[in-house]
Amino acid sequence: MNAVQDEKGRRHLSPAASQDDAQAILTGYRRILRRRLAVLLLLTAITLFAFLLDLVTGPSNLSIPQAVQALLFSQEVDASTRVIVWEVRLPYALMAVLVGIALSLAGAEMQTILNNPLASPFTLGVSSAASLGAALAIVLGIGIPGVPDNWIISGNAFLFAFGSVLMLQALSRLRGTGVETLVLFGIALVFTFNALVALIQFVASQEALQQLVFWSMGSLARSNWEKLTILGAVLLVVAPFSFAAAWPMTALRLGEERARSFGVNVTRLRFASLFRISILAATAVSFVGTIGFIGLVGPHIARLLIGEDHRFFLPVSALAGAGVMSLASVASKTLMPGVLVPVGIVTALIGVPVFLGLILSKRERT
Amino acid sequence: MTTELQKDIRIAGLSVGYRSRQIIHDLTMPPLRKGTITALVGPNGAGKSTLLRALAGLLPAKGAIHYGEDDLVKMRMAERARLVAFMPQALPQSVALSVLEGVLSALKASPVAARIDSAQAAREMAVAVLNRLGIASLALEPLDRLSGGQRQMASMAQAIVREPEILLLDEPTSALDLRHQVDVMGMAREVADSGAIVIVVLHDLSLAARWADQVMILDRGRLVAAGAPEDAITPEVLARVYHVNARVERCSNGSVQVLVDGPLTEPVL
Repeated sequence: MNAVQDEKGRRHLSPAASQDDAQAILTGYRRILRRRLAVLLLLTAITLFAFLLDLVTGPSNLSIPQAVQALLFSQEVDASTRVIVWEVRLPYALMAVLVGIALSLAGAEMQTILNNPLASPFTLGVSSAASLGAALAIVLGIGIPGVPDNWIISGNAFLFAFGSVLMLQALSRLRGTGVETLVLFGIALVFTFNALVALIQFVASQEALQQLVFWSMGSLARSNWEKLTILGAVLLVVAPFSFAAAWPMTALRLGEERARSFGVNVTRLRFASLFRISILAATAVSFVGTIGFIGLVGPHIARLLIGEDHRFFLPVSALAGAGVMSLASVASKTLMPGVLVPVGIVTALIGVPVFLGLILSKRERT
Repeated sequence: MTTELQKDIRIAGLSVGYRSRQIIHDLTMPPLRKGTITALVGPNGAGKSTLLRALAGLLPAKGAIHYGEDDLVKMRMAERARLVAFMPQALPQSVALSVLEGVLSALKASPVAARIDSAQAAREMAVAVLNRLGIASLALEPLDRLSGGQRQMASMAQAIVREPEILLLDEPTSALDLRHQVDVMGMAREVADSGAIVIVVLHDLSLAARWADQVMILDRGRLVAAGAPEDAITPEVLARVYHVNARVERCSNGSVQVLVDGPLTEPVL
């Protein structure tokens, strides 16, 4: 392969030198892969630590060793610690991690397939749609027939959130338009859903209004083991498909035409990805309400840390999202002593400066 | 094998267009042979890039693009990508990937990935291509930090790493200085010499004349002239297609040079 045809005056290395060269590049690349693996492990450790911190943060004091002991050897700790850890803190803390993973993975895929670093389930209307579904249930009592009462809000929120992504999909198919238009459709959907939610709020009773406003703030307090099991199962089913599409998605970053010329079926890739995004985001949002910026910030952190090789970009995004979400959960308990601030407010408060910082640092680099 | 020798591209009755606008009308072309470079030239909007996209399978087409015994138009994209590589004009923007990763994803996302034994083999193929293009030293550099010329070479690497039988280049030299133009066209020549069919859209007629074995001049979706550069590029054709007064001269090494004197004052029919 290392031809030394030089009659055109093109600089070619001698075969021996280029062999050494090739080896040096391959070694360098392996070093980069190892570094990325290290970043992945480090992020896992940070997330685990944030999760434990989340577990011990709260009105009754626990130490991390106590919490770990209660988790691993629940028989050895006293009953009250066991109850606090297993029934109060753990569902919160686990939900924070799972929601962080789901939203961030959805955001990462969305940014790639829409070729837009501002795309996220939150910015493209998934959360607004979920709010509309919840509003219908809370204020007007409209739900999916056959759904038990305690699931009616989540059921509606899921249906609307899922539907909103399918609607985006359908709109783009209808006109055969590009991804830029898809993003604009998403923004139009945000405004439409918000207006409809406002309309429902306007006619709502005071009690229902309060419930609805509280729902849309996003809170981990709605967590329970049933919801955790469902979200966990969704992640276990969906994530492998995301990871399996890592190479085609990396290729898509080089441009749609280019990826298609490599033989990537971009239409199918985009459809499958939007389907995964809608399930992930809809499940997460229907359980905890509106949680902004996680789906935006997670992928940005991942991009800064390890670039856009999706074999790493997707898992690192997911972990970064989980870590940030756990830390937000810790902050939601400590910002105002004795008060649990809805975590959606915290993620927005933390998210905005982080996001601005990312944008500004990017400006400087280019 | 005789069929192998005769494996050339024959375009017959090809029509290509977008939803509401047909760009190429019932185009039939002389065969494009193995081991040659064909330059597609013509004014803006003549359908050069559209034709190239149709050849790449990126636009639906009616008619036939015979390649040996196959018809590319009827071929599935995944199969087609084994044979055809396309280098679009647009270069990737704000991508957090290195040069090597770009080439690797071109390999691994494509159907040829199935034929590569191991990750190591893919990496070696990618590095070999970068070596061939003389940009091995940039392998681990982010695509975002490259100059226009380097980016074009990285883009070329993504196209040729699959060792395509048909290489399509859309204005590969448009943003390049003289040296990089020579580098890119030299590489196109090398790919052709190794037995591929290379089709390149160019704006610079002198460059086309210097590097191409045959030139096809398109205007408004139709073929106006085709043949060896010195036969196809004539003052009459240039007047008709570009509406300019031009001289076609031979430079000292014998290659055709086009000198444009000014716009055409009288309409030519």
